[in-house]
Amino acid sequence: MAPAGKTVTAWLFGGGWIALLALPFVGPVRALQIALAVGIGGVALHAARRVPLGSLASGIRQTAFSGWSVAARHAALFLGAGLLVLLTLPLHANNYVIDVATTTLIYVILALGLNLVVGQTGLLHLGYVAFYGIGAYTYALLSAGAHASFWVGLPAAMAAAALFGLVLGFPVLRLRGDYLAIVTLGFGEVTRLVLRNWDEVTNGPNGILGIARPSLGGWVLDTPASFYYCVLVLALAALFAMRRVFQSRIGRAWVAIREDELAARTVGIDVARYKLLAFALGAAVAGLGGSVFAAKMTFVSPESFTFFESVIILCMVVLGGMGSLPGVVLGAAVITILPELLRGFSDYRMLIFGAAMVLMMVFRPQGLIGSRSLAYEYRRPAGRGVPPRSR
Amino acid sequence: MLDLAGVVTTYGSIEALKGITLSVPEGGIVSLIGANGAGKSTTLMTVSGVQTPVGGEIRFRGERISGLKPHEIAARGIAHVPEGRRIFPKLSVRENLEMGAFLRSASSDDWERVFALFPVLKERLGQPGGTLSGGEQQMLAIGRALMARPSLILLDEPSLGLAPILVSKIFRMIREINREGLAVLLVEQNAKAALSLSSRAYVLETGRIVASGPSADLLSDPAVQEAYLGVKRSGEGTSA
Repeated sequence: MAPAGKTVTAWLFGGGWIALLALPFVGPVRALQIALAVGIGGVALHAARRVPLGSLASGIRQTAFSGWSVAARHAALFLGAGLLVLLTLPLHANNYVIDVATTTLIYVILALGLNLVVGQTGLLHLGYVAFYGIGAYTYALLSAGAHASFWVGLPAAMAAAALFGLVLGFPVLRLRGDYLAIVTLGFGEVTRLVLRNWDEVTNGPNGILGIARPSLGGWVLDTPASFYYCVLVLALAALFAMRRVFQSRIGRAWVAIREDELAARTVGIDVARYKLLAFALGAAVAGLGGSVFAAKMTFVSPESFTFFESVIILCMVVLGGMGSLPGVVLGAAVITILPELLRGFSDYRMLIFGAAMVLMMVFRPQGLIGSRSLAYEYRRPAGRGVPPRSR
Repeated sequence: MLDLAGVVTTYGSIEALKGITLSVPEGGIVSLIGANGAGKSTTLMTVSGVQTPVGGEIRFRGERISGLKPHEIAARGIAHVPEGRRIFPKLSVRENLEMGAFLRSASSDDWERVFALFPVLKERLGQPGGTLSGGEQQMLAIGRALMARPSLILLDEPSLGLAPILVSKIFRMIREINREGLAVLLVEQNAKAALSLSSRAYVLETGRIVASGPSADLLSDPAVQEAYLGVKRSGEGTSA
């Protein structure tokens, strides 16, 4: 971490820069306010990081978490606090806040899926929104056309997206970096154009109306709070599944491919198979997000699946910290919530948002919670003959 | 143990190997020497399946392995230490070694064996591979290959970019590994070191084998001496 003085300067400089950008639109008084807000906020954030959170919870730590690493204890603490906030949110928030929270959770799901492909496996994917769209339309068609339940539509959407993930995966197996980015970008655009122009099936630009909300045994989840809980459960399930997969052999193979493809081959990893698996699973998660999105809006149209969406989701992954699950969740939350908080600045909010992103990448390129090494954490059960971690 | 017969490998329209025939006996050390672009690395890549041969045949313990995928060949007990080490730089030494045992589950014996050969790796377990020195990275690359418990190890330029003292250290370790029964196919620009280590050697020139025989004979062969031993070669640079 940078020395304190340098970090403070960086934040103040950042505040000044954002204010300068916003000056022509908001006038000098507002610009000064922005500069101070960013500067003071940043310094406060920096100071907060210095607070030994561990000592606050030393009592709990020693009893409940004996044998856990310090990092694991902190993680558990944050997780507990975060869960409490998430679970009680509808009790003390209005419908607007619950709606933003639901949208955030959908983006968390999408960002988790893209992180699997980009962050974990290292395949730059710019057409991710295609699978989001395919998932959304699959449920939309099943619900509006065949009155299928959400619990049938959801796995169908995931399966359809995974299938298209494989369809895209096969031809791009040999591509990496820029070339892969261009092909996936093209795939995303082709999918959007098909959704837009295949009138007989997708109803073209008018989209599909009348998509059902999920229901549980006759209880329709049509209030913001009940739908929020439904999405929360799905997002947590996605997060949990992701964590399990990343800690498995599959997760290791993906990391090896990201780090050095040739080396991965020589240690016996079937690179083609694991890349396809990454594409398919990443797409399935996007399909999950898509079906939830369709159920939330009860309406889908091609306008929701533009290239810009792919970019935004990619920003969440990069901003949060590629390959780090807490980072990606935080990235999705920040990028969904920040523009909402900036609504006071009306049209200029995206400008401020963009400036914040630039500063972020300049001063913290590894993301908000960039894992120190990008390594996965692999804990072996004790007594398997592996020497202890040198610390 | 390993037999190549008339192996041809191409990069697009360029023939990198124009019919290579060689064999590695069970438990032997065979070296492959030659100048840049002679096809030494391509030979190893073809054996490990990273490159697929377009002609000829490769047999390992009697079974035809040419045309198999790299992971299928690795599973049969051939470990490839590629040129330039190719460790996973952001993963810790421990994770690099675990990755070597991807196809099996490593026992404590495997770890002990690697640490006995390369004690320095044990000290560096938690450190990212990319922060190791060149010599330590080479040891890590060989250690990672050993974690797969191979019966044949393909070493591509293990002396590349290393200080002379480390080169002799690495070569001592290769001899050590071989004493445990592992066959070694060694590619080297440092011909003198390679010939004094191996029992048999092949000389490669532009995709063809131009000389072969017991290493001691090649060491004293005037033609080989002039081409590969007379000129002072520093063992740096790359070969195709």
